[in-house]
Amino acid sequence: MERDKRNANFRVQSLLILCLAGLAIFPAIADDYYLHLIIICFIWAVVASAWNLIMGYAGIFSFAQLAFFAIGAYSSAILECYSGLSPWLGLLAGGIMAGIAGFIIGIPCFRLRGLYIVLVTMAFHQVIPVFIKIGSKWTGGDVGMFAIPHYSIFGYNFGGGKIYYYYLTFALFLGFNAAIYKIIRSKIGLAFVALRDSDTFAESLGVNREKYNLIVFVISAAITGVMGAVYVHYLQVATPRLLEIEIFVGTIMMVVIGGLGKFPGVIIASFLVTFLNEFLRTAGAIRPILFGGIIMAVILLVPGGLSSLIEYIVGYRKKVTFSAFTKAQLPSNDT
Amino acid sequence: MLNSLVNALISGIILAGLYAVMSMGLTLIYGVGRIFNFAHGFFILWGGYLVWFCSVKYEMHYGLAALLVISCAFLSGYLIDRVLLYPLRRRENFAINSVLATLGLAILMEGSGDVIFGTRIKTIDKIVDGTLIWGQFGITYHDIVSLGITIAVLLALEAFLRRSVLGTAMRAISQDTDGAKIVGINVDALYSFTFGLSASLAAVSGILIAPRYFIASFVGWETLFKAIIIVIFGGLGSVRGTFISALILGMLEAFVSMYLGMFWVQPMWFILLIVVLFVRPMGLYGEWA
Amino acid sequence: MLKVNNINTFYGQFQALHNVSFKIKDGELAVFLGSNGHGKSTLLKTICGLLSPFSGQIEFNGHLINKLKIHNIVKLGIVYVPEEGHLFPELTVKENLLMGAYNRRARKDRYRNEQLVYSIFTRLEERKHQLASTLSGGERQMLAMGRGLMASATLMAIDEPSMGLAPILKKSVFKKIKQINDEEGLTIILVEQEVEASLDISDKAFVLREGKIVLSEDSSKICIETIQKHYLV
Repeated sequence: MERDKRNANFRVQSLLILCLAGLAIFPAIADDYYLHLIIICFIWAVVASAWNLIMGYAGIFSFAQLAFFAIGAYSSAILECYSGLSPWLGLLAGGIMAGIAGFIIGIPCFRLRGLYIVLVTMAFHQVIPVFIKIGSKWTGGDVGMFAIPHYSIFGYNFGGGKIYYYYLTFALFLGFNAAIYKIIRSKIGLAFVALRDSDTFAESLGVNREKYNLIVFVISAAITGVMGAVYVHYLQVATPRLLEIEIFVGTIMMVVIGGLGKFPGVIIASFLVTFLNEFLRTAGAIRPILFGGIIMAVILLVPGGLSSLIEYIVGYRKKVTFSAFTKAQLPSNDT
Repeated sequence: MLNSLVNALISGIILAGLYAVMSMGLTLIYGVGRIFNFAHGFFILWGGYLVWFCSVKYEMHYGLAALLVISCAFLSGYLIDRVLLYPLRRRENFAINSVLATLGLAILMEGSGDVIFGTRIKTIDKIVDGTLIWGQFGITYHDIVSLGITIAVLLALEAFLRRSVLGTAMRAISQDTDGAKIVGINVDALYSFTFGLSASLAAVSGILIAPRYFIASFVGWETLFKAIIIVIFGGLGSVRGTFISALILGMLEAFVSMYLGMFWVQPMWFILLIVVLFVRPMGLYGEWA
Repeated sequence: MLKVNNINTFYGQFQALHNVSFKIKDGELAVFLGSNGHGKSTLLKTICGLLSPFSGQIEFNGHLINKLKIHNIVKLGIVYVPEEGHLFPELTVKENLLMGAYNRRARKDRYRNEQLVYSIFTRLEERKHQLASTLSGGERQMLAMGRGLMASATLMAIDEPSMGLAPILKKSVFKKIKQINDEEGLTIILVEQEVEASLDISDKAFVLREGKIVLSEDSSKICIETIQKHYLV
């Protein structure tokens, strides 16, 4: 059993290194179109990962993540377009503003029951476009903001080629996911598993649920905000369409397909969904049907998502939980 | 002065009835099944879609179409619970799984609606034409019929829940699920029944709303949001709460519309939502926050 | 006729019942004794279907019931009266009793059963139209048992009926249980902490310790010291 685990770990690590190496040298062999796709993948992978941290691990049903994305995006864009400061500060501003928003929303949220958190965060998501409209003098209202300046380093303007954004987003992708992984594995992460499995018991041991919830909520909001900033600087456009249902569906699909509460799947799922989205771009109304169907199918049939598939392939488990009818009473050998 | 007051009152009552039927399904399925059905708005919309399809495309008699649609709604609701939610119940994390599953369902229904019925915004004629004028006040015949139907539906529902064995069993499940199982109630079958009932109520409201509004995808989300606010304000899971909430909010909307203008209706709902969620999330008759 | 054969029940990873086996004859009043947390409630819940045994069989009047859903088990004639009562707080006493007769077999006997319940528990008739949440502890216990009686069952499993009641009420509860057993011929499985009173009214007694049966004997042949030994050792 131990040997199996060690073998599995080894396999996982080697696979990981291979993939990362591949991604690192990717620009050497790919053209702009694919570079663009992967950049988008990197950005959404972080967003989905942060969302997974909140929903899957901490068990907080938050629907506000995209709102934080937009807050980060607009904060950075507004800062850049109306002051002459370096765009890098926008990155920081995006993260900070989103983090603050996370704090403000988080505090009332955690006094409420799970379902109400959904509703509050959903309401928050709905309210942001209203604010964008109200402040249209700065935000450009429905039309949005254009010509958002690119980053530059040592005089090299990022607009010069996709490769700059590629490595920027790659670095953020690695950095934030590593951070999220550390959080999951850390004391905080363990606290969440304890809270999730038996919250009254954990609380009696002194685990302060509200504090941890808030910390994780703010962290994932800030991370998402930073990615929002990068997104609009890359595309040079910021519009309220960031908050549309399509993007929402796409992102939540990444989290669901990846396997709620499990780590590696969400990243692969993000890549998958981004590619899927791209290839189905011309399919029109088929997309929601497909996506809705996929979400339902995954939740129903393969609740562990891609992660449990990975665990199976890598030998971590004996079988994938395909059964929709697992009895809750039986002692589970694969937790 | 009196004219607008009375007209607002009449509007308010009609809206209240409509909103009550519209939201009742959502509260029932939460009270009994502890599911928050994100697809509820689309059940409402599909009520509109199908009755349009039957009566406009196929020129079926309106009443017949309505009956057909309501029965289909019941059946679909029953089956959806059986296929989608029954397996989820036996696992852990039911709350979040059901939220995501119904969200997926909503997206699916939105897309299929667009594909099957087309994305062009549709309208449907009123049930009866004409207006009843009484001095300075007017009320359309359609609204009278609509009000009559909503009152009838609500009374029937109340009688069902209070007097019938099945209705009492539903109330029992919402109060103590283990107790319900112990006395031999087949809770799974009743969960599906309740979902079917919820879908039928949604369909009825969809049929009534369609002639006075539009039939288009965004209606699916709009009605969901309004229903959410109504249900939260009244207390999630409380039938009485939903009823009173619909009454108050229907009246409120009518008065806001009359005295402040249509423009303020949307913001009114928003503000209401924020206020309720932050001041008293459990609503009027809810028990927990 | 209840035959329980080697059942093992788990709560997640924790094993609550270890290879429990016993037989109960028609009309018997059997009592399960033991300290808290040793499996008594789990046993009842497993028999009536609230919990599913991981392995083993339960046979009732020839039917295998360990894999059945609760409402089907109730239909076959087993009714569970839980310790917490699980009454419906916002339903009236009458409605609670009505729900007790939900299963198809009991539906037609509804009125007869209701009168029976009122004759045994007269206080309930006075409070017929009161909400269950307004009743006192003792009345709730009565309602729980009354609701159980409504099911036209042949086997009634009662979990700690005297818990939390004043001594006078305790005596009354045991008296009524014996009455039900004698007059209606109901087989009764009782889970209790009140050793003396239980031995008084029961035909057979079992002691459960850590999920295993450590004593199984006719009640008349046991003395208190034996029981205490099994509790403490």
